[in-house]
Amino acid sequence: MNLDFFFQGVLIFFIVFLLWESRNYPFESGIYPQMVGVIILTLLLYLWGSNLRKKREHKRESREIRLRGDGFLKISLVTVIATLLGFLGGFLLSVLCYYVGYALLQGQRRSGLRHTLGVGVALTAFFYILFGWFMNVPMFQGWLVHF
Amino acid sequence: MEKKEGSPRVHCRVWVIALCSLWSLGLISMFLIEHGIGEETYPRQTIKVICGYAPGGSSERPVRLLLPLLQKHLRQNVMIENLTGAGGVLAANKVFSSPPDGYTLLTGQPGTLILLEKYLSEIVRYRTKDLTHIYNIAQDDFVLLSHPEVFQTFEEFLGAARKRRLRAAISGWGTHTHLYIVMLEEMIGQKFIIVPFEGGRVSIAALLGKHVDIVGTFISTSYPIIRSGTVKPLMVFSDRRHPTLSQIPIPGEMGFRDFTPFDYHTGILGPPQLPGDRIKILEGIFDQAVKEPEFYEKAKEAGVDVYPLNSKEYLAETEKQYSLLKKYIKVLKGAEDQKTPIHREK
Amino acid sequence: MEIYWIAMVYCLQWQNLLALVTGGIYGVIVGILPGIGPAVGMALALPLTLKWHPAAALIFLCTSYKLSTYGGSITSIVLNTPGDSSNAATVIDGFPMCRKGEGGIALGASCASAVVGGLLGTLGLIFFSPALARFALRFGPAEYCLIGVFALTLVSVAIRGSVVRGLISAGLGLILATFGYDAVVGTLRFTFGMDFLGDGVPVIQAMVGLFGVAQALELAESNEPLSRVGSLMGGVWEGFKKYFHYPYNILRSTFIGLFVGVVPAVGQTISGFLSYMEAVRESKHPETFGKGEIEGVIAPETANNACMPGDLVCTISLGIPGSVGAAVFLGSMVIFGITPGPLVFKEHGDIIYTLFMSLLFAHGLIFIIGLTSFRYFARIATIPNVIIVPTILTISLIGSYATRNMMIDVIISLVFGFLGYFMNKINFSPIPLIFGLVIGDMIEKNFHRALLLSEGAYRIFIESWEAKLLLVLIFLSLFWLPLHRRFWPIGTAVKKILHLINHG
Repeated sequence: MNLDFFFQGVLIFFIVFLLWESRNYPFESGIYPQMVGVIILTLLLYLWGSNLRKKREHKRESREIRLRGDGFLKISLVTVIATLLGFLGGFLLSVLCYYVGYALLQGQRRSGLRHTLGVGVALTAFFYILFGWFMNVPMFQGWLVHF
Repeated sequence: MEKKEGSPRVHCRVWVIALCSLWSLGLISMFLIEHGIGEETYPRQTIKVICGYAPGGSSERPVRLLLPLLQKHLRQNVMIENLTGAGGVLAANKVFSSPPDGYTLLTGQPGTLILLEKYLSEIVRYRTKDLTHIYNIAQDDFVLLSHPEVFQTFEEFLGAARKRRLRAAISGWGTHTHLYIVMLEEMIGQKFIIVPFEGGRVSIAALLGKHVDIVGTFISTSYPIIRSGTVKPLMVFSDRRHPTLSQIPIPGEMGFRDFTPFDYHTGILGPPQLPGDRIKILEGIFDQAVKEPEFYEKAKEAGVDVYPLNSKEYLAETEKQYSLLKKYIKVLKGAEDQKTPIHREK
Repeated sequence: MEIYWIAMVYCLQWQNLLALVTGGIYGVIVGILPGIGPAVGMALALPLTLKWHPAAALIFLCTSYKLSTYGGSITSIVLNTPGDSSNAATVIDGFPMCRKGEGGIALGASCASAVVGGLLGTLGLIFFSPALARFALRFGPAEYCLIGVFALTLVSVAIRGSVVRGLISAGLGLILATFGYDAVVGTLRFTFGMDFLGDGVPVIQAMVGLFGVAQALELAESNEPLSRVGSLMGGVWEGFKKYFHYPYNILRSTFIGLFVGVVPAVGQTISGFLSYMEAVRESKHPETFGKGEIEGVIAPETANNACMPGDLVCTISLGIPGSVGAAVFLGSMVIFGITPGPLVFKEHGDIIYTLFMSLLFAHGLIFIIGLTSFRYFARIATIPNVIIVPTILTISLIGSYATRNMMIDVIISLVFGFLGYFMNKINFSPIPLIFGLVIGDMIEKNFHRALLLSEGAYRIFIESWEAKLLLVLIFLSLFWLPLHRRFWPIGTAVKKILHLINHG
């Protein structure tokens, strides 16, 4: 899957959706986003079209930008899961999970993992002291835990 | 290979275990201290007062000044949390849906919250009447300002308004200042070009630059600049003369006898169905703190007009605002039909 | 002159000096944390200062405001994550310098920018406050709109690579800026019933995501350290000295920063970008920008640091804050019984002038902190990924979270993080997006306001001399390069003829 085409396609869909959503706004509110939306849409379609044309003209595969699917998925999963855990147990839990998750992702085991865990725990404690204690930012506010 | 005592692996393990234990111990003790485990009276932990506006603003000023006294009387930590967004709607939504345990309160103006219920109904998830009214701390009056080189008196302003459409700056649609300017239009029977800005101070800047003819704002926002003589107050929208601007007329004196002010009271509100005993405790503490001479002095210096109201009186004022808003709703709706000039039909 | 001496002596009292130093250190820490910013930093520190003497408290807050602007440049350079939106432009060249192993030089240049730009801005504040305030008031909605349009015309200069992609990115920023409450007409646009979008897409959270989170994702995927070189070439002192090789850039950026700071509600973010884009446009080698050009750090940082004293001009002289940070500072002044406005110099002159003197001393503090501790910050670039990736993620997202204590802000940053990651992959620069997000609101609101004031007459955009000047700048910005290229052969020919005449 060519990431460039996919991204532009998603953008086109997003802009069209916004234009459709703005159809019921009063004229004064809708005119500006609609104007900007139409300009972006024109540029996107131009870009899409010119990329297609270049590809046909050169007749060989132009360099396609592809994702390193495996690595990206792993990283995204760790980030998203760790953040969602923050909804349950407070943001501080997410912080600890980022360190653990990335260490495991990097293939660390045993002594390396212990070292990273130690640094992670220490940094998590530091963030709690700085934000939770000094700045009164609630680090333990989640659906399951609330204090 | 055998692990020898004192080997790097053992050291590392010991450090990790020590760090984790220390951290857990620290967290547990902080938790215990925070929650005052063993005590049964309220309050047992930090009371959070949420403000829907940016820190340092006039909305949180009364509570900000009261903080040290509240902490002294409550013997518990009280902190202000600024949760800005949608003109105060986010903060009100959050407090409205918070558990009614007395640890999450709101500082705000019920009048503003009522206006937001109407103007931002799509995202409003509270009812101002249902919020627990605990105590009112201060009140503010609306003042009409002009540049001294433009209008010196209300009569001059009235004369000019009858000849041409004046440009009036407000703090934003659906705000108190919007409502007051619309009320003024109805009072004098003339329409203005109403121009919204991002707050009272920015609209005063537009006035000083003579980009607008008049500004509607509150005395707490504009008092320093009124005192310096850089702007001219034309009228204070109240049913009594303001103590520090006693030379400025009020609508009743200028022949507008039907006028009733839409109050701007800054106080403390809580989630719905807050237990009666907690309301009593909070009410008592706020009353004690507000009546301290130290607070009164600081409030005077900071331009805060102290206006204590207990829980019942505060709720009664809010109910009055609902019926007042019904009276002005037609006028507000009329103002909404004002189209911007670029889209006028020629 | 006597009042300045008295103020200096007062400032050197141990309580005020202690407030200065602690405020400075606190400010740097706050600045380093992405998303926290000077406004939030001051708000968090305010309860601690309530019991202090007003002078000490205000010195603490003002110094923390000053140094947090500077502290934000550290993360911009070392971690590709702006500490505050005002440091967003520094990322463009600061981080590539770090990648090349010139992180120390970049930090040194940023330190010098803070000292020199800040000093010049502070001198402007001290000696020209009333005149600058009167000048600032001449700018109305029409002029604000034109400032925004002028800034937008410069965005094409900042775009690297495909111009079409850059314009799409800027357009995306402009359309995201329309989310939320339409302040001119009062409609809620694109909120989909979600109250946290009532004020629109939050800029800090978006910026933290586009830079910080995206950077973390890229590093985690590539498994390369921040600094590709693996060691540091050139120290902070070298960067500090190199700063003075560009006097014209320094003066121009100071002027831009002071001007933008003085005009209320424009903001430091715009001053940084404006200054950067002007530096690119006037450079003889614009192609080097975006790849680690020192002028790309000097321009925005000098402007930012000159902007902050400019912010205080209207705040103190008129009681009208120029930015969110200035609004928090104004609120703090009122709480301490010092009401800003035209009478403040008469009624509280001793405290105000002490504040000014402390601002001057704060630059000495920047110099000391910069040259002693920043080499350690530069070494962050060589820390292994397994530690640096979650750390970047944490400090970025904690900044998002701490602004409103809402996990939804973390989600917004993550969404923008993934967006930034994809955009970088396919050569869509996120810089124009952030710029569009910042400037879009200003252009639309002031356009409508101007037309309301003129009752629909477009002549309001050419009435004042300020507006005319801005229109000339817009014209030059759009057409200078093509005109320059067209008439360049004629210019060269004229020069040759003159040379022949002079030398026979």
